[in-house]
Amino acid sequence: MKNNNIVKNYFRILKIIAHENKKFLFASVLLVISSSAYPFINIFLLKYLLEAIERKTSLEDFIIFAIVAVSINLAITGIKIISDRYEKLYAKVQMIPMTRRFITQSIKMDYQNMENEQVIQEMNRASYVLLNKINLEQYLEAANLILISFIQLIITIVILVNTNILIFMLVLLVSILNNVINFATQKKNYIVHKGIVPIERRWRYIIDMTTDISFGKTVRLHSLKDYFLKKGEENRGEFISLHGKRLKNIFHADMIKGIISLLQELGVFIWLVYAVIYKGLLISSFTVIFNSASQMNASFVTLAENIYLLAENNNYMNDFFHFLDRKSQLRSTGSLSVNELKQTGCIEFRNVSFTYPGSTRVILKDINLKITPGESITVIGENGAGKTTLVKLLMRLYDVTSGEILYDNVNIKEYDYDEYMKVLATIFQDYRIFAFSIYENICLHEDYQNDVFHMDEILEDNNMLQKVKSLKHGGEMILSKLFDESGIELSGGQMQKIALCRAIYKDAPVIILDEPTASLSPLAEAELYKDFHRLVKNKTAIYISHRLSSSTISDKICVLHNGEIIEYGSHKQLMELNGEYKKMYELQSRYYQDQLEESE
Amino acid sequence: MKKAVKCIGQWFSYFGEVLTLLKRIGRVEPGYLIGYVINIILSAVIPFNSILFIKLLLDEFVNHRRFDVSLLYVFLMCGINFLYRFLTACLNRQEQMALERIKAKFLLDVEEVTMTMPYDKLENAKAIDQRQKAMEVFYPTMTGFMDLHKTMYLFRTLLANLLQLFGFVSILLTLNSQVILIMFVICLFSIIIESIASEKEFKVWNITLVQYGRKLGYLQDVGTNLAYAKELRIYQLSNWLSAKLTDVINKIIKDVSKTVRWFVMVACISNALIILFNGGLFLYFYLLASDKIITLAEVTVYFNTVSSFIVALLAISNSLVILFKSGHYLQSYNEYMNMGTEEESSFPMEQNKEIFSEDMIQNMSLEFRDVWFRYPGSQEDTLRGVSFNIAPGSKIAIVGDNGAGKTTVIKLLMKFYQPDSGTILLNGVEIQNIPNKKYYEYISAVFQDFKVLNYTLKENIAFDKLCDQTELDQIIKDLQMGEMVSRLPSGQETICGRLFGEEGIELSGGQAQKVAIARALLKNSGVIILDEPTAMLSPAGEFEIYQNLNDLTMGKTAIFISHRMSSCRFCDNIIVLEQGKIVEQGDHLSLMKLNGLYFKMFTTQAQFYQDMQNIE
Repeated sequence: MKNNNIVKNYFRILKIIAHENKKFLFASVLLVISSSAYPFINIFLLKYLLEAIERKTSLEDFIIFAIVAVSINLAITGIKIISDRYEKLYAKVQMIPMTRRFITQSIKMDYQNMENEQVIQEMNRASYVLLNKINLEQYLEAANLILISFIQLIITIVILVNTNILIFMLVLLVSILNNVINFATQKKNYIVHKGIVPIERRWRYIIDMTTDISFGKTVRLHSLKDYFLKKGEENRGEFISLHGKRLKNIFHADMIKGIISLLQELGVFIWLVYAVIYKGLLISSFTVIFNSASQMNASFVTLAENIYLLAENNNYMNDFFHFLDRKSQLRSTGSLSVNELKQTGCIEFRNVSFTYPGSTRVILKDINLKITPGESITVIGENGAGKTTLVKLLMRLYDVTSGEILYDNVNIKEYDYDEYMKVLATIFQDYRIFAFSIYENICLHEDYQNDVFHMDEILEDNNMLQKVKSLKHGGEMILSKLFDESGIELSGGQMQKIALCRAIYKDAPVIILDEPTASLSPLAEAELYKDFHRLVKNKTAIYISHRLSSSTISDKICVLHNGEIIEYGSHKQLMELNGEYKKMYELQSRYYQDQLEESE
Repeated sequence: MKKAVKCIGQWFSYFGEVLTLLKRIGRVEPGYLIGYVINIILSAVIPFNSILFIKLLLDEFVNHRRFDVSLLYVFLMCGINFLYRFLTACLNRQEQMALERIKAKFLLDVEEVTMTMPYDKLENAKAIDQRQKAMEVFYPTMTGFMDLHKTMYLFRTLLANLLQLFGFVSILLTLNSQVILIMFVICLFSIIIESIASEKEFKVWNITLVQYGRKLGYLQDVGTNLAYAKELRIYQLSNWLSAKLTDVINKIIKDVSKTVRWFVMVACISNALIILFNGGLFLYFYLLASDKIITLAEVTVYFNTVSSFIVALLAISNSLVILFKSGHYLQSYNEYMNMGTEEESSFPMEQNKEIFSEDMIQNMSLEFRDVWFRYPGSQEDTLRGVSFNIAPGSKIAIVGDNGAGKTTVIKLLMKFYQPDSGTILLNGVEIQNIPNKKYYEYISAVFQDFKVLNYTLKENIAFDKLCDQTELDQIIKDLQMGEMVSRLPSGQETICGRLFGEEGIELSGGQAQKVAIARALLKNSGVIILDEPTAMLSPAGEFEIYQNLNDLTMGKTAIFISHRMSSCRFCDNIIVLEQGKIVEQGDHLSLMKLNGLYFKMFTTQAQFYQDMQNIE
């Protein structure tokens, strides 16, 4: 079963290569042919030289032969050099289409997979065949070497079989035995390897922690140097002793192989000596035979080694293709496109319940909520009450476990996934700013020259225009120091404003804000609240926040507790209810009342 | 010509790096070096075994044709080969073991340097690059091209090949010294041009392209990391990302193709020269043998010697590329290690001397005197003439708009950066004069980007410090963590994280934040700094924390940074920063009376609650 995968995967890669990178195939074929022939050049040159001397060939004939030989030599070695260089280059180029496919799949895949342990590990292993890692190159090199050594083997077999069947059998037997021993050793070492993996993981964790920049603050502050240096000791000791076991196994194998090879050498040479002295074997043939015998050994070793390498890298290849083949459930349920003209932005949750896949805890229980177009609602509740989950369901990162969510009176499952995405603009609590220019972070595409004016307007609405214009490159300023010393890191609040600009630029009918003022100063927060109505105009807005001061900008407030809506209504209505909301409100506002009173 | 000289110079310097490495290794594992040298000698000598005995055999075939003598030669040849294999198998085993130990030791050194170097140097892009290179060489088990095993192996074979060249040359000298001269010239020329081409190629892949490589890694991370997943879906960034990826890679390919073409051309010329020369020798041997000047056996020997010579030469050329790379990586490692050990020597006071008396430690005063600071590479000053005084045991809040300089004040206080001018004093002593290790005993902090380690809860709070269990329990109780801890499967011994096994628990954001605060409290330093310590907590949770923090930091000097004005509640002094300057200072009441920035910030937040009251 596993073997089938190796072959299947190999052809699949070849197909991708043939599609994207034909020069690579061409270079590989030339490389295989020239490399296969290469070791035999000298073998045959020597043979013909000695033969010519023994048979006393004429000078003219020899010169002609020499010219032909040199030309062939030049051709083969020349092609080998050129094709080798280009093959290596194209192997690296090959990673582009692989990475592109990988990233596209990663984005297409259902969000829930991104939090799934198994999928994360699969993705991690699959990424080994991509950029900055050598596994794809190794894989392709191994495949080539398998072909090369196989062809070489055929040639040596032909030579030896024609010589003496016994010699051939001896060399074949020894070659096979050598590789059986290798295989057995690998198996033994694999078991040792499995034992090493968890130890290695612990060790690497420590290495990562001790060389992590942000953790470096804590390391210095709490003087953790010695703590960490000591922590790794146990791991290092165990690792090295297990490694020693691996080496011991290899050493024993080497010993046995040495003895077998000795026997082979003796066998072959004794026969050759006998044949030359008693059977009139030509000296030229003598050299060819023992050279071919050692070449056969070498080719066999190369073949077996590279089959092993290919099999090893095939594991990563397997994960890669397995990952690519994952189908998205969310994307396959519907195909309606969103009617741009008739959109209302009306959202409804009907009897929605939700449990995370693989969990037993019910996060949302029978949620019923209707948001009329253009309305702003705030969702509040304790940590773990289900606020973020509610929003994730609306964003179709997950599908509901039961019930339905409707947009414009149509179940969101019936829309084409990408079409539905156009309806939402979001700012998350853990929003990301990309390491590109300010403008690009807002509009999220490369051809933004025509949009600069529009983006400047949005920046101004958010009181960021002045700051942006004061920067050295203005809106072209790169928001990261990763690739460019001249890039800048904005403060937390400033970046949050950029994220807000991004959401507004998208101009979607529904805008969702998840704790957008968490790192804004009081004044900046106030600005946001003040301008909120103006910024979201007629959009439907959903606001998640801990701070009840956000209630001033919402039409309705929805209080979640343990996955259920316990209170819903306007601020006034909820205060009159004298329930959870009123309690929370008083807790927060009390401080301000106290202090205001004190200061009067 | 100048280029050739420069390149050879570079080659020698990289050669030097490898030698420095060997010296370092020799100090740690002298036995390894001895084995290394023996291995080189054995490898250099073994090809001559076959050459010698084949010659003897062929002579025997032509002359006496004695079976018993031939058999003797065969046994000797095979026997010596076997012995060689046996010896090198033993040596290889020793080498591999020693190398793992060496790697572990050197990696430890890198870790140590990283943990002790000045913090601002840590964030430097060059340092990051050097550290990465250093790690690639010494990381446990082979992960990349530059692993130490490979470097040692290639260097060993390089030296063996060089020695072999001498052997081959001596054999060929018995033939004709003019031939040798021509050969020598051709080979020298070949090595030089291949060297230059290798150096060019190496520069492109490892220096020019490093920047691109980092960008590629970043783009790949964006495409696959969970952190970006929501954004990528909502904003449909698949095409955007793909386009960026393709763009970077096309740039790389363009740069590299040029070098490859150049290298291929050079290699072909070099190859052609050698093969043509080889062809000439071919004819030469034939002529000599036909005129009976040399025997058949000698022809074989010379032919094999020339072939082996060429093989050795090619091997040396190939090694050059790797040697460049190794040299470069080792150079990065050396520079990085040197960078790290600078700091220790710049202190007027001894490392462990106590600077303050016992009671002074619990009563720390802090002072900023006219501090100016600008981040490296920035256009403007972040702090302009900041001066303030914090009395021992008082509680201070630093407030201000985003970008006003709050976090910068903390970073300077933490000695992560140095002021451009002005001084910072702890209990009247300039902090620049206090060795870092000592300094950090006096200060404790909770950062915004704290990390919870994948070890037990207790270890996450106390690390390896001996602590009073009752003290720890008290802190847990004070932070309202008691109930949470009792619900954990193994209480304080529960592992926080599932990296090493299923039995670990992932803490929630709020729980993790409490762990970070507990860490700082347990340290019991005279000064404690809290940077947005309740960002992840709900209003109720935040309220609880601030209730207790006052008691928990009793007697200590405490500094709070927060956007939520509730942290100013129990502060003795509030510092208001605006664009790097202190614009207001005082306690809540006096600042409110000023009717300035603080008043504005406070009432703005309070306003909303007022407005809502009015709605009622």
